[in-house]
Amino acid sequence: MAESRSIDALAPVPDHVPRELVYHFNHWRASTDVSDPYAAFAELDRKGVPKIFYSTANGGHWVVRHYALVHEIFNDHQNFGTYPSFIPPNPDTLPMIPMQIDPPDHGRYKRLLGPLFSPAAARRLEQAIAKTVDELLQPLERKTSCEFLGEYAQRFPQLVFLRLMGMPVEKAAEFVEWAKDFLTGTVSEKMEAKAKIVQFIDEFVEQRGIKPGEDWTSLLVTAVTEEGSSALNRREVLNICYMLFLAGLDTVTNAHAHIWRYLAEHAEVQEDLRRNVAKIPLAIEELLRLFAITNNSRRARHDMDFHGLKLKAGDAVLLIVAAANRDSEQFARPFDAVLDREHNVHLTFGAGIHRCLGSNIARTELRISLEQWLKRVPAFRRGPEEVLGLGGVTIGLKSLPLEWGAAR
Amino acid sequence: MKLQVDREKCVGHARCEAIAPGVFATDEIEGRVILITDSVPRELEQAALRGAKACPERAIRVFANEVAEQPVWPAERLRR
Repeated sequence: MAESRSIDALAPVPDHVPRELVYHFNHWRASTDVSDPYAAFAELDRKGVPKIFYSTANGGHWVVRHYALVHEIFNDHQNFGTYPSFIPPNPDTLPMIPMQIDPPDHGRYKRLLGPLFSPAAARRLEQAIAKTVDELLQPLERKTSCEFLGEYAQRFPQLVFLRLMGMPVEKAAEFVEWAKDFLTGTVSEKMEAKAKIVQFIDEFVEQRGIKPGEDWTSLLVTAVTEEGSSALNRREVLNICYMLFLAGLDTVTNAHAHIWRYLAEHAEVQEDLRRNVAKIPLAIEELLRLFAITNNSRRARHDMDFHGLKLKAGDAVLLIVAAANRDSEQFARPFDAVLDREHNVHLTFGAGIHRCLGSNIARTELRISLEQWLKRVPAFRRGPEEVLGLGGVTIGLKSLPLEWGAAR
Repeated sequence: MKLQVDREKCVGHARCEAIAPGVFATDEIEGRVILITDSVPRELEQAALRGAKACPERAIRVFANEVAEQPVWPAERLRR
């Protein structure tokens, strides 16, 4: 979900913000080019930064990072809106459906899309997901090392997306290039890649309008209301397809990156899961808690009093889920991976009505992916190269070299 | 053990179903929780409690028996 770039310049502090709550914190930079992309969040506590503070980075915004507050804002769509909410502000984008649509319109879209993402729907996708994992693992089985992101974790969600949407997988190579430019390119490469992706999706939506198949694109194009009229217009279908493309892309990639890195660095855990496959789902859940992916944001819908602070309409609020997930008020041993943690109510997929629609599919992707890796790839470890974080709307890694088989 | 779900609070995380599929399900349209049984058989009690605890919205309440007025979950601020 990398749509904008960070601004490190000092934003002016609005009059309603108490000076003692001002602290410069650029979340795009905090996780970037450091070996632990999560270290900066704990640092805020060590430095005694207030519970709710105002950062002068990225145009200026509030920052909330404690579990109870993050959970509260996720659940308060009366006071906190989802659009426009990018930090820094990105005026060029339309609201993405349904992620940036609030009630009353939200319900209509959610009812329409919900059935595609239910646990039962995710189970029905298992075969397609397993097939994709198999295709990507075949070349790796013949090797003894890989760059995990480029050779696996980036391509996997892209191929799953193409398959779900019914898009030609032969297009995959080209598509993967666009997606790569879009995520990691320069600003102009990004714009160009986005235009190509949107055009590709748009043409495909048109095709499916003429000759629908069994895929998601066709389902969206042909969806009807109870009265029997078309439920979504062409623009809405395009918007949703683009949202599905974006939302499942670097989120799934980054979740893979952190989990595989953890397992590469913890041989005993890796071996335990390899021997006890039944432990995998809860272990994934715990690693998702420990390594949250998205830095979410909201915007105050009107002037309000929030826990004794004045918020003005339009104030942006950054919700640092990665910090909330390690809040000692909520979790015992918050910095440890407790792989069978029972009461694991992490916020990696958000909470409230905008909780991640794709969570069931993402969990299925991660589970099948990890099961197959542990079955088919021998004990893997980090390569000699340095591993560095990459922050922004999502928290990921720049690369992850892995090795297995005979020691080098 | 008796369960009570708040379908208004439920937003379809589906963690309950993942942890205790014999006790909880989700509907196909909105993905909200459905109780397969509101009186939990003894052998599923532990799973039911774990399923309730896995809900990030605390939408599931667990009572020790049919007549209990205070839930065993959520108890007042619990951590673990």
